[in-house]
Amino acid sequence: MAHEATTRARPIPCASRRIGACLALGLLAAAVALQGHSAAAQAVAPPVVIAAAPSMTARSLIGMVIDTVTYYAVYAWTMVTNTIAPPSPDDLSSYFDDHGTDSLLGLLRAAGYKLREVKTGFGLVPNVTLKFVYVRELSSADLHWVELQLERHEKLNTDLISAAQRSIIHTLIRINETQDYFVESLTVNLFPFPSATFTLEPWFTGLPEEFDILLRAIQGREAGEQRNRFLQHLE
Amino acid sequence: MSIGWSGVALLVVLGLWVWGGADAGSPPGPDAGSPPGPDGGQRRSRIVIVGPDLVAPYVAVLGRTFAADYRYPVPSFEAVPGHGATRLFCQGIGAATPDIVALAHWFSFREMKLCAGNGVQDIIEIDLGDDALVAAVRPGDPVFPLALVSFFYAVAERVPRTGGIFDELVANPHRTWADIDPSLPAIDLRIYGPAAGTVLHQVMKDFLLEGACRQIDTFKVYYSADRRVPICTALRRDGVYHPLAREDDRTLGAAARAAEPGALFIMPFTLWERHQDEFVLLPVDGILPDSRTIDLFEYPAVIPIRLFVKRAHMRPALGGLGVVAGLYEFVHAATAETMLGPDGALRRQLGLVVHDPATRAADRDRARRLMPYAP
Repeated sequence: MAHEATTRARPIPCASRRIGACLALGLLAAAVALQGHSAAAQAVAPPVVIAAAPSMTARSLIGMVIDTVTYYAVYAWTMVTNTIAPPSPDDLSSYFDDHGTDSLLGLLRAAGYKLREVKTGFGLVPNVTLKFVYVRELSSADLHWVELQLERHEKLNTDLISAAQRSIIHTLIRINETQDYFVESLTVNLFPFPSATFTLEPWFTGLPEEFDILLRAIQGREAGEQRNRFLQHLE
Repeated sequence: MSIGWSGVALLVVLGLWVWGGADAGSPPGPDAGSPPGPDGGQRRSRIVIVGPDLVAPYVAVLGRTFAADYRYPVPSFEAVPGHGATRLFCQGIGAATPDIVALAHWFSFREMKLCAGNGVQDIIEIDLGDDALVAAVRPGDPVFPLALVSFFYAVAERVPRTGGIFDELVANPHRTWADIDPSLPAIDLRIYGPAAGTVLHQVMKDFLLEGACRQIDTFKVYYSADRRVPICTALRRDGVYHPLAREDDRTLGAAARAAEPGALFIMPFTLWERHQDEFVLLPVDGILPDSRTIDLFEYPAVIPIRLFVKRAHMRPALGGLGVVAGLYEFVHAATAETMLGPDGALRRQLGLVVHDPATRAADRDRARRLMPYAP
């Protein structure tokens, strides 16, 4: 139970809110959980060992001690890894279910981007990288709606991290509104320092050869069908 | 020689005061002594404002107050449909181009680029407040929560029919609200709303119909906006949707008297405020429109009413070319608390939703300091 509570308490809010505060909260939550667990262990595990001791042989007593120590060692290791490990995809997916535009993910969704990839890494400082791809071209109404959501976000969230999140969306919109390029994908690194990478693509490029052949075949077929219909009409 | 930190602070404060004093503070008097404008001395005495017909009442109130307070001519207003107003405004600098554009949306980055390409660089934003497009029924008719998706299924020309591998678009078969959602009342679909070509019609398409499309899975697979938008915004033409020729008190009153029981009306919030006894508001996507939900943009169909002013048309002392007299005074009049406050003229006379005091103060400060708008 403590294990589950720890994984839920730390990583999810960190995906979008104050990173520094979240890290601190995560460490605090881990510390509280460790304390809680040690208290629980004192309440449950030790009496079993002590109460059983007089009737046990020395060998079984050593075995129990080793089991208890192993249990605590494994538990401590799990706690440590949970503290420094990134959120699991399950944890993240529950966060992504939120369809509001109060978070960076919600704003990105409004701006036409969807999550494509989550990279997580172990380390003293957890590593979380989210990759978003452009899946929906915005109409002028969509753009207007995103602007309204950004205004709303600004009214409700005046902190620095929120301002940085809005700046990411503004950058996306500005680039996408140019005639030359659009942001094909956005990579957001949450740890150790928040950063964003914009991968640009030109709006118009030549087709690769195989697609070009395919397109010409379709066009040729359509032209042939039109010619046949016209000839049938004449007849 | 060292002046110390207190000296530096004093200098900074003094500098800020001098800088602020150049633009802000009480407005200077009429433009006496300004050089002629850039068009060979064509210096106008009357401010020219362009915009869609929706903003005309706001501009009229502003113009009357400005003329009365500052003794300048009442600004002229030219109603231009669609995006024509922005194009006119962004044509360039000079007496032949408008001084102000009044819009029901923000200047987009693309529009800013158009302006900048024609030399219209410094644009000052005046945030007047917000209106909204609301749905209402008459007292005594069933009141129900209106979902954007339900509204789409009620008025769209073609709707998705689920069941196959891909949802097929079919002619709208729905005749009653209950056909769309069994939890809605079993009354005939009768919807009265803005006529094609008006700004409100565009707002209805932008926010209500496209807003619904964002929630419908069938349309989520359409990557291209050019393919998606025409399908999302086409209205049915089988008598369910009744366009109102004008969105004014008389037209709305006549439609309300003539409509069948259970009819739904789409109207501006400001119009509803003047007819609160005759109509009951419906929550849209669970949010009832009121001053708070509109001001916070929680309500899904908010219409921001904004003015954008060319700094280049102001007097040379303010960084302009002296194209028209009294433009800075107009900015002052339009941002006064007696205009934008809760007891201001726009709220009292037209019911416009005003912003909170802190936002109003910040907006006023930005406009009076002539800080350029950045989308």
